[in-house]
Amino acid sequence: MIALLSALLVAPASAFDLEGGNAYEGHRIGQATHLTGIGLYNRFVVGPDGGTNSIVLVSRYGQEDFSFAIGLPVAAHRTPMGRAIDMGNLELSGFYHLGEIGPLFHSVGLEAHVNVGDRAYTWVNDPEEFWPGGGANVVYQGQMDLDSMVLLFRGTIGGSAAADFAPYPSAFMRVSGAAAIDYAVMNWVGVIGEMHVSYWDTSPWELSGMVRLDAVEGVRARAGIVLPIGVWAGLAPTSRPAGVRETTLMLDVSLAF
Amino acid sequence: MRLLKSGACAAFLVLAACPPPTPTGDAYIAPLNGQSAISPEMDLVVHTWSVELPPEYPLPTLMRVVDLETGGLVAGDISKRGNTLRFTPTGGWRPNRRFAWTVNPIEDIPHGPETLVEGNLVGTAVFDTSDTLNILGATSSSPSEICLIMSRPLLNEDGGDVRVTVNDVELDNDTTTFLLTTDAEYNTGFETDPVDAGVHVFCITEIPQERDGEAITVTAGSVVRVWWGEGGPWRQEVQTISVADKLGELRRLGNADDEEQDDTEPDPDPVPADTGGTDPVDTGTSEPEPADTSTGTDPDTGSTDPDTATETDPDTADSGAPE
Repeated sequence: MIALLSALLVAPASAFDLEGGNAYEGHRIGQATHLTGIGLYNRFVVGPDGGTNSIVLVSRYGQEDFSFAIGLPVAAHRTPMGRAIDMGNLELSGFYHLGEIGPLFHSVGLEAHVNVGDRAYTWVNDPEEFWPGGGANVVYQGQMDLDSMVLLFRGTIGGSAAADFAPYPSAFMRVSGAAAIDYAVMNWVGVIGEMHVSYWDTSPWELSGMVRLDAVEGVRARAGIVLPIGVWAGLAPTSRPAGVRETTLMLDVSLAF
Repeated sequence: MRLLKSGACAAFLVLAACPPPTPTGDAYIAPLNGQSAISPEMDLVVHTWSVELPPEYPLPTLMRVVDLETGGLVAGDISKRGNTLRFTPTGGWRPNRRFAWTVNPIEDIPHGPETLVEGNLVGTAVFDTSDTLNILGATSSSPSEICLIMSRPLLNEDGGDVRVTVNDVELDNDTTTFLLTTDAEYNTGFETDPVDAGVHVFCITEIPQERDGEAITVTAGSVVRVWWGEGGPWRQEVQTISVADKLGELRRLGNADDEEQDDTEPDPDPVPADTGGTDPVDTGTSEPEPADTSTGTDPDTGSTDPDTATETDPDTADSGAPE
């Protein structure tokens, strides 16, 4: 008990983050970090069912035990009359970092999204990012440092209301889990692999792989790919039949101050 | 409904996700397939419960209309009000023309709102802006009755002697009874526009079992020929279904729970490319015609395209040849 309280009170700030001034992060596993910074996350759905591109500008503020983030997604997507650019739902999150308990660093938080007026009837992978609606998820994230790799875990549960047009229901509960490995190839290069499962979700099961470059302290670039195998298998809650017709490319840039 | 479905699916917290929501309710088209004397101001109507799109979201190209005289697409606007989709031709319909219109399976934009048009709505239908009189179908619900669904309301100008044969046995007008009604009397819930004049249903009742020793058999497949004044003959095979069912068939009436569209392939163009000025369609609208409304074998459309031939209604396909 004393050890637990000690861990809660004196969580080592640096243990969360990379030595180069950046935080560990996967695709769906976001940053649980003490760092303050900004990030620009680009997603491009490519393939016959592609054509939706998104940019999410994220601003983070972190201190010893808490961190907050706000994200503003914008999508360029297809409509029957051509391409359109619309703002998605405002994303807000707050984490409390419990620190090291046992072999893991723990963080719990709340993520919320709210529509701010625009109508982006589309999605990339995350069902709550663009489709007009609002809701919240309780989030747990864990992190385990090993010799040359870090294991990341995430679990969420929450609910959302959404504009009631197919394929979205008017309201849905969402439970998700994800696990990732960040393997440091060199001091400034790492590869990340992640698996994510979720229900209800427009991409209920996906694998992703990324390369991160932390060449300059506080500056990170990442590139990767998401394989939406749930969509390929026809498990998505849409009328699209099974088949490999899309994948998502990722390109991120983030700064940590 | 969707929420309930989500809740049911949520009980299975597994990798699979819920199927898309299933629409409910009746779906139909107006005018009827083969209806004539269409008003220049009348819209083509597709009543559907499943094309639910966000406000101001662009409508997909659900309907295409072809002028069968020119073979060209008809310009117009598609609008949605409530559960009704309308095609309004630019400048109204040209008079004395036959048109084919196709309700396409919608190709949804990936990663966007989905529309699941009821499967019964998808296909091609024809209509006339001329006063051409056709018979769209013959039904019988008893051996002593045949009802003929006309392509428009009968007019005083249509007056004249009526001759009807069943399997080449002519009915005696003195011993049978004629009854004229409108399709509205068989209406099973759909609403038509005020400018939609509908059609007449002409029923011959009290048909005797025989005449002059020749049996008169009214069963499925019996051949009915009709002469009306100077018009005809029209030939139809009797279907042993109710008038309401036949009208529903001509309206593509179906429940949204019917099989939904396969939205992976667009519907083929209803008119073959070689439909031009010499096509039989050019000459088919000014004289009494057989009642075939299908595009596969109907000389009105002149279609020999195997794609459009699949649209042929087996119940009416044999009525294509004028006699």
